[in-house]
Amino acid sequence: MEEKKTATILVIDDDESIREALRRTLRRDGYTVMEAAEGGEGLLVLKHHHVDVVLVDLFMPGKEGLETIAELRRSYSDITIIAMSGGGIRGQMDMLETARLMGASQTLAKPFARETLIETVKQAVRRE
Amino acid sequence: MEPTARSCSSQRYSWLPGLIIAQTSVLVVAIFFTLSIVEDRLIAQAGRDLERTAREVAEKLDLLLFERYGDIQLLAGALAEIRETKRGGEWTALLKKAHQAYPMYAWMGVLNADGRVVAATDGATIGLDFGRKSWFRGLAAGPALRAHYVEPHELTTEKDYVEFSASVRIPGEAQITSDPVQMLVVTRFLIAELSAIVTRTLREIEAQEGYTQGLEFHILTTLGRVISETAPHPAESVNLIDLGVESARMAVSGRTGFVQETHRRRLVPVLTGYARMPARKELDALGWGVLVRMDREAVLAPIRSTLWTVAIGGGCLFFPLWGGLLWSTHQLRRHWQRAETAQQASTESLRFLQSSLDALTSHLAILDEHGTILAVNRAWKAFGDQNQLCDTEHGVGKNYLDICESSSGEGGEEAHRVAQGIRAVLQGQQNEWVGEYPCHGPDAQRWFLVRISKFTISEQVRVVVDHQNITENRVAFRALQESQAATRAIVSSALDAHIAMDQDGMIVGWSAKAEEVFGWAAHEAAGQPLANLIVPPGYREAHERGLKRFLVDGAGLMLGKRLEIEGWHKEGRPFPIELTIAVIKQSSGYLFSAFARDLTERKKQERCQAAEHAVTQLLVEADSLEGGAPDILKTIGETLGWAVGALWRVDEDRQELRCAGTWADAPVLCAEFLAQTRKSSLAKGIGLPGRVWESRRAAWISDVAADENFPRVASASAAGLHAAFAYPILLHDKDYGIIEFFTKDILAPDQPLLNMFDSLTGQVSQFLARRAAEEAVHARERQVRSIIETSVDGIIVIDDHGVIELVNPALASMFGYAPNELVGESIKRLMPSPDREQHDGYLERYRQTGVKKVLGVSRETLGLRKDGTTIPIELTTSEMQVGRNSKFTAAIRNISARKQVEQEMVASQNRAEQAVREKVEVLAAVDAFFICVNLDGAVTEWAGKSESLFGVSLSDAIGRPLPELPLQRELLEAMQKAMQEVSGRLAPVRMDKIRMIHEGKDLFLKFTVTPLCDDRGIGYVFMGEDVTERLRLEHDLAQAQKLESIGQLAAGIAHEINTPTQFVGDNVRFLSDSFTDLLTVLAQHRDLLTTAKAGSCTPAVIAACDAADEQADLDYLVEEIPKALMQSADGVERIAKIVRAMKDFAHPGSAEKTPADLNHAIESTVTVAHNEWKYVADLTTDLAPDLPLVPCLLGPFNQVILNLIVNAAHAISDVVKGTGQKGVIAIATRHVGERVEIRITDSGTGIPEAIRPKIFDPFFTTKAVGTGTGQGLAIARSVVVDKHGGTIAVESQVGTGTTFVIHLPVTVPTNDRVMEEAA
Repeated sequence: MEEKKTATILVIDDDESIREALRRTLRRDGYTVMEAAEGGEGLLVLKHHHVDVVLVDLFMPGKEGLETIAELRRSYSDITIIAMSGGGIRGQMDMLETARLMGASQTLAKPFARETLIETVKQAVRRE
Repeated sequence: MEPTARSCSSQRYSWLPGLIIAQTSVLVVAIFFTLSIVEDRLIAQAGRDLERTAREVAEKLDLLLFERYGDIQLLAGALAEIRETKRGGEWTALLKKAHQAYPMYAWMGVLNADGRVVAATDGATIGLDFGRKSWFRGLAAGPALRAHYVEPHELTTEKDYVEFSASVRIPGEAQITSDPVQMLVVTRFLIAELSAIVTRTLREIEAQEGYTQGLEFHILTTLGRVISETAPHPAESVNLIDLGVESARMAVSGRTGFVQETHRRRLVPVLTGYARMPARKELDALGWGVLVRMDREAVLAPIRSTLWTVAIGGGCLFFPLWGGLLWSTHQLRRHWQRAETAQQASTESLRFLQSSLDALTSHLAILDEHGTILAVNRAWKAFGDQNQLCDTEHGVGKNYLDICESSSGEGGEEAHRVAQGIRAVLQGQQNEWVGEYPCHGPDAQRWFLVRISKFTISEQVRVVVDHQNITENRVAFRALQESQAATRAIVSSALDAHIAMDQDGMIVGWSAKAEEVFGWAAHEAAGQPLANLIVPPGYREAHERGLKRFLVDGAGLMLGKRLEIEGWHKEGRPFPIELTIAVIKQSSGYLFSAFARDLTERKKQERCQAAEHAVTQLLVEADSLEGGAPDILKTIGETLGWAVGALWRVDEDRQELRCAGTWADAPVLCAEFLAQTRKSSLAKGIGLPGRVWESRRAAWISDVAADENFPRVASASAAGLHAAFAYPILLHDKDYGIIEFFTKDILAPDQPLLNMFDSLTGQVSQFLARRAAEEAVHARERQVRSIIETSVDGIIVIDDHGVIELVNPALASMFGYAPNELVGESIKRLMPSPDREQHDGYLERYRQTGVKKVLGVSRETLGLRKDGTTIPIELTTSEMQVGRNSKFTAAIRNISARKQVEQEMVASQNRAEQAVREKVEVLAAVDAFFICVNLDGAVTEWAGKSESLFGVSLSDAIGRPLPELPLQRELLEAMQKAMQEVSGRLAPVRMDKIRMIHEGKDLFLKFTVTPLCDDRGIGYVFMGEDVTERLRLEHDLAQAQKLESIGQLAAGIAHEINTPTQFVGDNVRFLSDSFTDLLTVLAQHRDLLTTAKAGSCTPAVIAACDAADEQADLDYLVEEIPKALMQSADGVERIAKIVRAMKDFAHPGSAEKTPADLNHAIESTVTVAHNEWKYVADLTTDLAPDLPLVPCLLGPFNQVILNLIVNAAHAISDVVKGTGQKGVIAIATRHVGERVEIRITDSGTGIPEAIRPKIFDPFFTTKAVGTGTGQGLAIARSVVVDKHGGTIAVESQVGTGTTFVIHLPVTVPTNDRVMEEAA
């Protein structure tokens, strides 16, 4: 392979299948991928590893996505956050829009295409 | 003075007690040192005495023994004289004689050369032969004369003794012939005798020296063996040198002295004097040592007892003295400090006085008794400098009286008065003189207050002249008076009642509106405890508790918030009020200021609306008016709080009214009345219903008991019913029926209620029209058509593809079409965007899911007229089943006029409300701003949030004209426009939603401008607030209320599908890429195989193969591909499952009950609702496998289960929110007898006892506004009880959870079964 992209991406999602699928996709593109099943675990990973981009699902048991984003923004100002969700709407609120307001720089509504993911992550890394 | 200096001075002499203690310590040490020296001296003295004693004893011993030494020589000489023949007997006689003379000898004898005893004092020993004994041989071999210490042997039975021996040459008988005979004389001297002598000697010395304790002695051999001692040891003899006794060693070595040591036997310290017998050649073999000892304690005892006496005596004297010394030192120090502090204080107070005088803004001068100025303060000097009034000395040294009295011109008169005042004070006529005078400068008005007072210092009279500039006070006082007047005007004109209460709970303020609201006049209320007047009896205690608590810790009051609570009217009835409380802290304590608003009307309005809504709902669901009557009566009665209701139906043929249904909140109490009502038939004009039928207008009777035309009066009175009203139900101008209601109170006619019923009548008519139309389709189409055509409301029928099948003329004209123009067209022609584009979607969705979004509810929307304009319409749609197809009917009413009226009403009401609300907030809360502009257009008040909202500080704003302030243009324009309007109308003007930009954000303001009229012109008062948040909330609320549970569910389902879709897609892409990689690898491997088969396999081919493996990361692929495949399959299954469940859940079902597998239905619903509960709970099912099929309407049943699951999830969410934990939802089914039981249990908050009876009521909800319509459980009850003949019950415990138990009958209720069998 040509020049390796060294960016590290943390995927936080309660669905293992989603995490693994994202890992497969991103790894293929040369990124290092770490996984966490919910927000609390994700923050724990961040304590010990350098991470460039966090891909976080919004609906999770334990620490919810928005909570996690808020915490990330408080503690890690230099990390780029990408919020993703399959529901998107809770009550009358567009959660992805809310996530963006809370500090996610990009959002992905599931299901999203691989190209979208790669493009979004690429932008996020560049930003970073 | 510096603080450090102060602390130093307080430390001064703090070393004194230390010094005293140190000196005492030194003294004690010295005493002990001296004592030890004295002791040493004493010991030394005693030691020397002992040494001397020892020497004396030694000398005495020496003398004694030396005498014995002489004895034996004499004896030997005497023995030799005796003639040979007489020897033997003569010798014995001689020996015995000697023994008599010296009884201290134990034994004396003569031995011949062969060792035989030839003569002895003891006859028994004569003839004994010692020739072979070592003793004799020792004697024979030794010197001729010797003395030595001998241990006992057979010659004597006595103890130890000293033996003296001398060899004697006895001449033979024939001196020439025979050789002289060698004989041995032996004497034995007893040691015991020796001891007695020594003891005696010691006793003499003791007596002589005055020893208190007896002396001990030891006599030792040269080897250290004890020969004799004071108290002989009963055991074997002792060797002191072997025991390591120092004195013994010293004694035998020939030294003389004393030593301190430990007594070996008694183990006490002793003092030992030691000496050795003097060295004498003759007795050299003995060389005994003498030890004399006494106890050390005995030596020191005398001095010790003296010391004790002295110490106790001294201590008795010393300690009180010592204590006294410390105390007096302490006292001295304190006095010293006090004196020092006092000195500092006086210095400071002098400085302080001077600086205080200087700091005072008053102009001060101090005069002596003649009026000469002695001193002035800084303000006086400054004032003088400013006004060039005085010389450089500022008048010091001049006579102030002269200055005043010589003053002339403007103010001269006042100056004279001041001089008079000074004289009056000086002469003692007055203690103080105060006067006020104007002293206007060239550019401003000024007032001064002069105060003259007298004081005496060291018998000298001094006068203080104090000028104070009181211009500001005067101006402020006037402003205060004006502002109080304005506040009073606002409070008294406020629409809300204003009440003030002091901290004891007494009423201190009571506005005119309060009189009106609570019924008490101001003079009745003033000074009364607030609790007794306006708090309902049940809340009084809580009120007082809350007040006390607030006074103690300042907590518990809902300050600045609007509280909806119950108030108590003078007439003794509770009524709802809205209360805003503010607390003002005053010097005398807290003042509670509250604005109260009577909510009775609003509550009633709300109830009316709820009733109206409910009735509409019921009408939509009911099959006929009679069928719905019980529910409608119940709904209206319960919501509005009326006791009895009845529906009368017009019988056209008989021209009478007959009762078609009744309802009562407590049927038992009015059973008779109900029975009579049901039996009654009334002619036109008879009774209340008859009158209404006749007049065709609603009627109201305040008290039926007092009414003449009321046939049922007797039973009504018995049931306690008084007020009644009735209204007609008209069907296209035909009388259809009458609804009447009774209550137990006597009530005046209630106009809003009647208005509400007017509108209800319209809806009932509409409902009847629709029903009539539907019936007509089946039976009398033409007749119905005519009804439709004459309907004032527009009616339209479309098929399930949206094609218009029928329109009535009213509708056609409403939309500007000819009636025929529309038939066959799409309904979309009547819809504006965006409804037009979405309508197909709506229909399609409804066809597939059966989920009603607009059906059955009346809603307001827009219609598109032929000319392209839109009109507001009220739309009620319903569905009818014709064969297998659905048709949709819509009743449409043009509500342009109503809208306008409504809007105007709302607007005017809002205006009134808002005006007051703003005032309330300005005065009681913190969020408002408050600006006053005076007659000249200058800002005089810039209060509340004005500073923060407009970014103009108080000091910048005050005094400047409003347009000059740096306000945003839009805001300023609005303010000026409002002022213009106000000056034109002289009435308050309200401005709403004024936009401005604040800190980069859009912000909306609302304010009211009130004129402050004066004969000279108009001032303006602006009161307003930031309403951004409120507008946003209102907007959100409106949005949220539109929420439908199905819509929410849809979002959840989307999530459930989107998630697996995501990873299945990703995985497929991954697999595809991986496959490509694998193909590359495969190609390499094929190559390898081929070359291997051909036998031409080279290392290069193998390496290429390896490289390909490496490149493709084969291990990773082998590991991941199966997982990806498995997860994808799982994902597809997940999607399939939810889609299946959705299909089952949304099963349109038939209108008839069909036997259904409830377990399956529950599983589907659980799956569909997965997203609603999965984050907050684990859901378990325990579904009985033997559950029979239950006749069921699956759609509604699923809805019930869904509602209960969603409720359970919400209840759990309230508990686990933020904890990261999960609750439990358990669903179980069971076959119990003829019924099936379904239990849905959650571990949520539980339902409080108090609201449990209400939970199945429509519109009852505990969820936040916008998150629930309050219909979930009402629908559940309706479906289970009404549609299935089952029961639904709730078991709940707060904090533990809730269980809903549903029972459904397994067999269809009888009448249905009969029908089935008939079919």
